[in-house]
Formats: sequence, C-alpha cells, structure tokens
Amino acid sequence: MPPTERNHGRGILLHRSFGILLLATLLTLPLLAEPQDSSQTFVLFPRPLPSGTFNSSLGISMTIIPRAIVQEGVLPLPMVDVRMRYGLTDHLFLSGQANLVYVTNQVSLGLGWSHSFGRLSFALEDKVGYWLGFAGFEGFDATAMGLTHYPSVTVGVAADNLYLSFRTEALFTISQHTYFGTASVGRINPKLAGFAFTLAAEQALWKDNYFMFGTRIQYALPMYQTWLAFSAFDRWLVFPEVFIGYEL
Amino acid sequence: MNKVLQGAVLLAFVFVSCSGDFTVSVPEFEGGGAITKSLRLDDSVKAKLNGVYSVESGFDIFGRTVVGKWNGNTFSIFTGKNSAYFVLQGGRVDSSIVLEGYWRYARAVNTGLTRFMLDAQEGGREVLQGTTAPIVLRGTFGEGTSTPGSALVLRYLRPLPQPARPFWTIAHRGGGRNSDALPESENSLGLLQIVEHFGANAVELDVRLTSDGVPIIFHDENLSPRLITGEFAIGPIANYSYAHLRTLCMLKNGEPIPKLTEALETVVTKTGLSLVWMDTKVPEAIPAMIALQREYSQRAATLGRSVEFLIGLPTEEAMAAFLAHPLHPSARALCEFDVADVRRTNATVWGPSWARGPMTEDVITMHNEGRRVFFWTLDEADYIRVFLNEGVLDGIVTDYPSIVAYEYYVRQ
Amino acid sequence: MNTTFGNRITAGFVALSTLVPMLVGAQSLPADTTARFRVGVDVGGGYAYKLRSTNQLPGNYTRGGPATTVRVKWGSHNVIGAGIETGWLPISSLLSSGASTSLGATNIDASLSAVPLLFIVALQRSNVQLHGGFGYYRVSATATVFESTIESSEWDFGYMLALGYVYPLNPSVRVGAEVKWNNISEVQISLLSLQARVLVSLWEW
Repeated sequence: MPPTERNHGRGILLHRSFGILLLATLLTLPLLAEPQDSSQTFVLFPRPLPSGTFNSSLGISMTIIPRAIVQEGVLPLPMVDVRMRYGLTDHLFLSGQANLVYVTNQVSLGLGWSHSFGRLSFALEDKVGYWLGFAGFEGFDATAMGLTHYPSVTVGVAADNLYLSFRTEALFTISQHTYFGTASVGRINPKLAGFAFTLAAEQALWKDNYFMFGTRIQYALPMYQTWLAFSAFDRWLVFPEVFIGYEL
Repeated sequence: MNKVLQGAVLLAFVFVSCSGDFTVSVPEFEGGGAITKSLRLDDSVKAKLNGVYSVESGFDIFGRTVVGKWNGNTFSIFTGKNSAYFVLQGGRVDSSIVLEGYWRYARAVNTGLTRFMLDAQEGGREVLQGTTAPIVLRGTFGEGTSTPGSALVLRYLRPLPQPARPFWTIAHRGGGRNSDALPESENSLGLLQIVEHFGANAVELDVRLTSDGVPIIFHDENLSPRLITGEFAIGPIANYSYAHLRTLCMLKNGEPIPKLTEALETVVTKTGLSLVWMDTKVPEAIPAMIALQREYSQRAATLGRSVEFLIGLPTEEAMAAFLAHPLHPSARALCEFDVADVRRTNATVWGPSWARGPMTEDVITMHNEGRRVFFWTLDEADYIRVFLNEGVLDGIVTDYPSIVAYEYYVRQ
Repeated sequence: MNTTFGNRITAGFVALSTLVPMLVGAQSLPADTTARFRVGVDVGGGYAYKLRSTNQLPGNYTRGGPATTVRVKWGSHNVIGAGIETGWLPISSLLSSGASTSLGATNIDASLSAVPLLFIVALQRSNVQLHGGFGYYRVSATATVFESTIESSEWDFGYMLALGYVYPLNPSVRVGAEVKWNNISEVQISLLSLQARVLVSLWEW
C-alpha cells in the first residue's frame, strides 16, 4: 500500500477513535443528571484537580510483546508503573508517568486541561517522553535512548463508587540513539508511530484505598518497550497491556 | 441486554483474528509476460549489467542509487530507500534486453510488477554484441498485480566493487523469517532455492533433533502457529518423531519440515550458495552434524561445487559436545563466544553478536590467526553501514540480505 | 495499515465502549447480603466450541466438548472483584482410519485440550456479571500415528472474557449462566462456551 493510502487509513482510525469516545460519552449522558461526590480526585479519571492537589499511584504494568517481535512466543514484559497528576489551576494540571524495568525505561511529563459536566469529565493532555535502555549481559553491550510525544484525550464516567476512564493517545517517535560497543547510530525522525486506547477503572476497594485496573491496547510500530529486539518491521503491531496500581 | 451480548460477541471477534500474521503474494504477469517470447542471455552479457545505477525516474520511491546483480538466471536490484528489492528474469528480444518480474519492500508488504527494457539504442545492441556502451534501463513499476505504469529509469554508473577479501551475506533461517511473509517458509527447501535472489551468498540453518534422532531444520523449540500448520502438533518439537511431524503438521506454506540432509543436498545441487552455517540448537545434534559436514563436503567436491559447512556453537553445552567428539579437531566450527573460546574450539570463524559493537581490534586479531568473523543479526541499514564502514568483518547474518547487498555494493 | 485489522480494533472498542458504560449505568438492585466483603467459589459446566479450525487431516474431526470452570474470587460490596480461574477446555479431537500420508497409510487418533490458570477481574451491576482475565493455559496434545503415541504440553499466554447473569437463591448461593470466550492468543486458539454456574459465598465479613 503506498504511503498515501497508509496515512489515509490511519486518519480513518484516528477519526474512529474519537468517534468511539463520543459514543461512550453519549451512552453515559443519562448519568449526567445524577448527583455525584465531586470531592474525590484521581490519577487517571480526568476530574479537575484543585490547585495544589497531588495524586499519584504505584503499580505494575505488563505489556505483551507480540510474537512477530519475540518470534518463539509472546513475552509479557512487567514494568514498575508510577503515575502522577498535580493541579496547577482548577483546570490545568501537570501529569507524569514512569515505566521502569532497567532494560527499558520511560519517563513522560506533560500538561493537561480538564473539565467536568456532572458525572462526565474529560481531559486534553500532551506529554513528552524520554526513554532509556541498558543491555550489558551476554551477547550485548548496548544502550539506547529516545524521545517520544503523546497527545491524548480522556473521557471519564463516574458511577457511584466506580470511575471509568477512556483514553485515546496518538504516539509519536521523535528520535532514537543507540550505542553498541564503540559504535553508535542516531536518528532524529519525528513521525506518527501509532495509537493507544486505554480503558481503566478506579475504585476504593476498602475505606479510602483506591486502586486502578486497566488495559491499554497499543497499535503501533515497535516502541521503547522492544528496543532490545532491534526489530526492523515497518508495520504496526498490537501490543496489549494490563496495569494495576494503588493510589497513594 | 441484546446490545450487551452483541457487544461481547463483537469484542470476541476482534481478538479471534488478532494474530498479526499476514501473507504477501508474489505478483506475476498474465500469461508469463514478455519474457516468454525472449531468448536466453549469455553469461558475458549478464555480467555487463552488474553494477551501480543512478535512478533518473522513480527516485521518490526507490532512492537515487540502486545495485543490480545477476545470480544465475535472475537479475536482482537492491535499493537503499524503502529497502526494496527486485527479482527479474531476463531475455533477449531482437537487439534489446527485457527484464521482467516483481519488486517488494523488504520490511513491509508493498509489492508490484515491474518491467525494464535495455533498448538497442541505449546500449542494448552493444551489450549483446559484447562491447561496452552507456546502459539505460528504461522501465515501469506498479502496485500489486496491476499493469506497471509508473516510470522507473536506471542509468549505469559504475561496476560493482571487487574487494580483496570475499564477503558473505548470510541469510538468517535459511533465507528469512515467516514474519516477513516471503514466498517460502523459513528454514525450508524452497526458500534455500530463492535466497540468492535476495542478495545472499550463504545461509544460516537451525538444526534440531526429533525424538527418534533425525536432524531437521527448525528454529523454535516448540511447535506453534508461527511456523507450522497442524492442530495437534504443539509443545517441544523434540517430543515428536519424524513420522509424527510429517503426518501431523507442515510449514506455513505447506512444505514438510525438512531433514538436515535434504537441506544440505538442496544447497549443493540446486543453489550457488558457498557457505552454510548450521546453528546447533541442541548439543545432541553435534555428532550427526559432524558426520554430515564430512559427507556433504565430499559431495560438493565431487560435483565441482565449493561449499563450506560450518558447525555453529552458540552455547556452552554445544561447545562441550563439540569438544567431546573424537573428530572435532578436523571439523570446521563457528564459535559465537569470546576469542578465547574460538581458540579453545579451534573454530574457523568467530560469530559474535553485533550488539557487542564492531570490536575491530579483536577482529584483526582473528584475521591474523587465519580466522574469519561474521556478525549476527543485522537488519537495519544504519547499523549495517556502521559495520561495513568501521569494521573489518567478513560477513553479516541478516533477515534482509537485500539490505546488506545494497549497502555492501554501493560503497565506492 | 491493514484496514481490515483496523476495522476489527474499531469494532472491539465500539463493543467495549457500549458494554461497559451500560453495565456501569444500570440500576443496582438492593444488595443480597449485608456483608461488606466476601470470598466465594464459582463452579460452572457447559459446552465449549472452538471458533476456528486449522485441521487439515482427514477423518472424524470434532471441535470442542464439555467444559468446566472453577473460580475463587474476592469481592466487596463495591463493583470490582478479583480472583483466580481454572477449569477444563476440550479443544478438538480427530479420529481417522487408514489416512493417506506422505509416509504411507495410518490410523490417526489425536486430541487437544487446555487447562486455564488465569487472574480475573469481575464487574457486577444488578445481576449481570462481566469477567475478564489473562494468564496461561496448559495446552496438551495427544496423538497416535503409525501406532506410536506422543503426548506433548506447553504453557501458552491468553485471555478470557465472560458475560453472565446470576440469580440469588439465598444470601450465600446464587445460580446463573454465562457466555465465555477463551482466547489462547499465543497459539491462536479461541473457544466460545455456554455454561451454567453455581456461586457459593464461603466467607463473608
């Protein structure tokens, strides 16, 4: 398929993903009139944070690296998953996330703006990520790093004590540098690498102890999670991810 | 409730087919194309077409330079941009030369038909008569099976370099991986017979044993839909006898899992490949590999073929099994570990991972000891270029031999 | 981009975006217990059907069979629960007499089955339950050809999604039914099953 057709297909996917968010919003419109407890704030649920409020979570994410990359099977890649949101103003917030497993690690930081209508909340965010990986074991003497960019839209639905969030992210790779032995290769090549769709729930399982559970489907070129495979595929693959976290 | 159930079924449908597999068909001209009406080209004529070409039309897709090279009756073109390759058949029509076949991106699914003419007025007559003239290959390319209609014009720049040391472009897994949707399965007899079209002059094969001790070529430890079709074939391949494998499963394109003997026979009798790296996946296969190495070296010599068979030692267990064999001093090995292990096993070739870097000093040390060095497995042009420019290596194992061939021959 | 695949991704998220908000938005019935937390066991039995055949051998080929599910779950008066699921899934079987092969004629007797071991999350609103999980399946094959039998097993990664309805008989026991989809994604095996269930609360506090 020529590049023009591929970009057209991806444009369709982007439009459809926003359509999905709109559909989810419309389906939950009947809930808008319901009263809600607006004092609780979260890491994922896009309810606006009061200025100076800090929310964070600590958990584990697991990305399933597909067979096309791993070859002999699929590889669940567990990572420490740390997330945060900090209210700058009543609508503007700072957000951040770190996924760490030594061999590959990414930290991202960004700005967001959120608003609520009754039980419905939404946020627009834009994050920049930096990733770094180390491989100094048998057969490897390599280090790699790169820059990424993730704009996203999140819609949240609050129902009693369950808070559901739907997020669509566009994934951009900006640059990558790899050092292997005494040599290195670097390239700066900003491009759309794929999309990710997240569905997550945040809930107090007992007293005020909130947990988040979620799944994220990344449909993209191989990204920081798989740098060590040095995959040369020029096609998008599905990377499912599940995550669980405790809100601190 | 109906909508909820419908949603659940839809969601299930998404993941049922979420395998990531895909296939790419090789496009063909209807009726075989113009080549069916052409005459065979002499080797002396073919040799004049080998070279580096500048791209005058079509450079937005294929870049500014390409490499053209004959292999037997196939003319291959390798490009830098989009890592494309062309696989063409050639023939003579009057005083012109026609080249026809398909092109394909090595790392993606884009493919299509293509046709070139070396017109009598643009060097065709002189080339056919054995003299030299400026060569312009004037052609077209298309998408899929549609008739080629986009202009692609190549002008001969210079001949291919003739370096002092031979270089091996070693195709991984017998030619490439299933995940790249080649016309034949990885580690198959069919792929061995076409891998030279992609620019390889050597192959790496993965050697395992069935439960009844038959050496076969198969990469993975376990049977799975990645490599085979066969509903009741699952788990370690070493659990299955050869008869079980032949009955219960086949490779993805319908081929049987080959025995190592069949693969070596194919290399010697049906290809021009000059080197086979037999990667020892299980150390128990070493005795059989040493015996087959001797047998097929003699077979190749009898047929006037120069083919080198190397026993790959990728693990400590494989090295131990090799050193324990009474015939190991006369067996030719390739050791993947450190230079000390290369000496310990008296390996002919050192085969380190590319992720350790070019290690130029160690490579020169190996050369001074009369050994060669092959790096594995390099797939991206940037990295291949670094090794070709900064290193002094003798070969590269790759899933994309066309990329290595382009980067190797385009250097001046 | 593979547009067919993109369509399927879209379809999946339309489904999920339809299903989950509707579950969440549904009216809650009064709780059938005053307990705040419960640990319970959930046993189901029914029939599983393999969704796609990859068999190319001649003979009497059967897809699926009687299947069972056993879950141990922790849940609260809140919506989400978590637990472990196992069970038994017959995947397929083949019986062939005098099948012609490249090595000659042979009888073939083969079967494939799986035992799941999954971490699951449960969501309940009203009496409708949605279970989702991931983990590993122990996939086992047995095959006899040329009068020689092999048995072979491996662990494969996969998922599960189930939608069901439960009806309380008393504060500790509920009965119900569910439609379940098991996807052993690592080996591209998917099954759809319909099972009747009995749910028993073992401890409540």
